[in-house]
Amino acid sequence: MKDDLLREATHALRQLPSPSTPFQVNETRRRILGSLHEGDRRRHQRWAFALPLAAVFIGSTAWAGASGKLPEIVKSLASVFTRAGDNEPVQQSPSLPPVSSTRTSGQANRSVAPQPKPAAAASDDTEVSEEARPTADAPVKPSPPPVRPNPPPPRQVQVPREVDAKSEAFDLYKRAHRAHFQKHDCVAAISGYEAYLNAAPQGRFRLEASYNRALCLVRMGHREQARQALRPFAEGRFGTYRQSEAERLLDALAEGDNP
Amino acid sequence: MNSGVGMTLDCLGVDALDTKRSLLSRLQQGDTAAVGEAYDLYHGAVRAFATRLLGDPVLAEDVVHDVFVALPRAVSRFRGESSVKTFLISIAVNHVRHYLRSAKRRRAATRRLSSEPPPSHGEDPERYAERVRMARLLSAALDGLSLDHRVAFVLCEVEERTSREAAAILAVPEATVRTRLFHAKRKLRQRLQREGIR
Repeated sequence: MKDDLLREATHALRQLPSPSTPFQVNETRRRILGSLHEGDRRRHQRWAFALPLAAVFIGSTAWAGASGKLPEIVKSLASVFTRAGDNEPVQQSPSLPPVSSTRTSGQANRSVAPQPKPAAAASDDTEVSEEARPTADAPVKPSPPPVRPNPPPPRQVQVPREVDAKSEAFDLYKRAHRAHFQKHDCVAAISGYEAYLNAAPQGRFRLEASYNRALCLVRMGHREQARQALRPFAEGRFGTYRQSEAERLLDALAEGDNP
Repeated sequence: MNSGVGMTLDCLGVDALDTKRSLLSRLQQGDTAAVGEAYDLYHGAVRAFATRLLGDPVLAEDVVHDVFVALPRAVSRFRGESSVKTFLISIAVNHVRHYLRSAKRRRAATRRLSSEPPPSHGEDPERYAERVRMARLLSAALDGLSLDHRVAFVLCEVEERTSREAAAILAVPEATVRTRLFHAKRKLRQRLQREGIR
């Protein structure tokens, strides 16, 4: 191809008349000015929103600084944020099932069924269920608790900050739990659980404490007291929490009464 | 007599310069009406460049719109080293990038539908049709070039700007413009040959 043909094509492209009509030209002008006005309007809106906010913030900060309340406000704000941050894990940790006097549908019960496991006693709680099952399956014989050959050593427990605030009640529960499942001292365990329930009637471990107390009563042969303690669980007042175990224990107690 | 004409021209030049300065300062202050005035003065150049580069008048209108909407912000970068028209073309180069692909698609779609040449405005119809055909072929061949090569070709060959002007628009050295132009022309020749222009 000769170079002049490229030049000719270039010339043709250069000479091609603009297909834009005056209407299109004016329309584009109108669009441009419209876009600019819209941009201005948005900018004004942003300012109208941001300026009062900034003024309020600056004004209140200045007032707080002048009146000497700034450190206090900053401190309280910081504590609010810190508390909010601390609450998150607590909210995520298992909470107590709602105590209801009537049984709802199975699904609803199942939804409340996840049982609260104290972070500290999580490992020990597996022992609780293990402890409860044989008692439930077999007929209850009020006998001294079986001695375990090698009780596992107490594990290092990381106490969450929230629990730390109620450490006293929590310590009571821990002590009772240890007496129950490690030392197998039911008397100490019962008094420990009762002390915990008195100290924290709405505490996180109130259901565990009540149920474990009932287990201790069963073991010690205090049948009537044990029945009273187990009945709310069997009736489903705490959802399905330990319901079946409590029912079986009550049956076993009844069989023991009428051999 | 001659000196009188010269004085008048000088006065006109000074007036134009003043108008330009005042327009620029109003643009820098964000005066929307100044954008309208700039549009009235320079839309033709921007539109022609965008149409030649994209080969699509509809998308060219969009480029013109974008260029003048971006002008109030972009004008803060303007140092007065080039003309306002050159500055606007440099803004258009930055905006045209977004439209290249869709321009190519649109042109491919409309090529099948628009085989009829536009009205010839009194020119010999056969000659005019041939010219339109060549322009369209060149426009299609430009699609095969990279944006850099394409812009260099349109600026230097179609719009007949010097390599210095093109370098100012593209913010690259003159030698780079010349190299791009060389490669663009080589590729265009090959493409036009394939299309059947011999």
